[in-house]
Amino acid sequence: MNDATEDSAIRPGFWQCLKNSAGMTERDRRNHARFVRWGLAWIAALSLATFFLAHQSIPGTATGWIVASIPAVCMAGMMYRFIEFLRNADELVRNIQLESMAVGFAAAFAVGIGYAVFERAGAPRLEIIDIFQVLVLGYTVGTVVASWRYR
Amino acid sequence: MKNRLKVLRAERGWSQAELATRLEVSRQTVNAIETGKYDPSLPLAFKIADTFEAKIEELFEPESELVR
Repeated sequence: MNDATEDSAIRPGFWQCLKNSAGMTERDRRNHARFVRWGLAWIAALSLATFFLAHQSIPGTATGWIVASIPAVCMAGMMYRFIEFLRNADELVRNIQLESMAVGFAAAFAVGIGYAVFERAGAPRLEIIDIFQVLVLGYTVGTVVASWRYR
Repeated sequence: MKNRLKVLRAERGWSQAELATRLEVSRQTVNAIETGKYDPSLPLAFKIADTFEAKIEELFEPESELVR
């Protein structure tokens, strides 16, 4: 057994931490890949739905409602796969994910509430998608920091 | 929480990967427990104790004794 090199050999690097794959078992990678695929489907569906609803004369029609509901279906699939991933994840991975989500929600909450004061002072109105971006950024930073701490 | 995981693993000649497979966790989890960066859940602690055929208190001990 080569203990001296073993500990450092498995330490994930920065990119592995950023890729959110530090410490994942094969099962975790498989479940995470499913979640990512649904996420990519959601982004594609959202982009296409936004494009069609903006450029075609279908808003208000049955077709418009169907087109608008496709991203919601993809989002439901994405949420289901993430919960599946989290429930079956290695317990250290689950811990890292929960810490990352806590950072993401705290950042989004802080920016959302904090910026509301600036809006009253005349700052431009913040869209919900902007808060979502802060959440994703906070989650990503949280993932890197937590993965790095347990490496 | 201090633990004797690395010592017991070395006694049995197991690699971190081998222990991780036996415990059904990742190598990073074993590494994080051994280095004291992560304290395992109670079910995993029992599983570790079972794997080493030892009692939990023989494997883990608090950093400082609690004031009784």
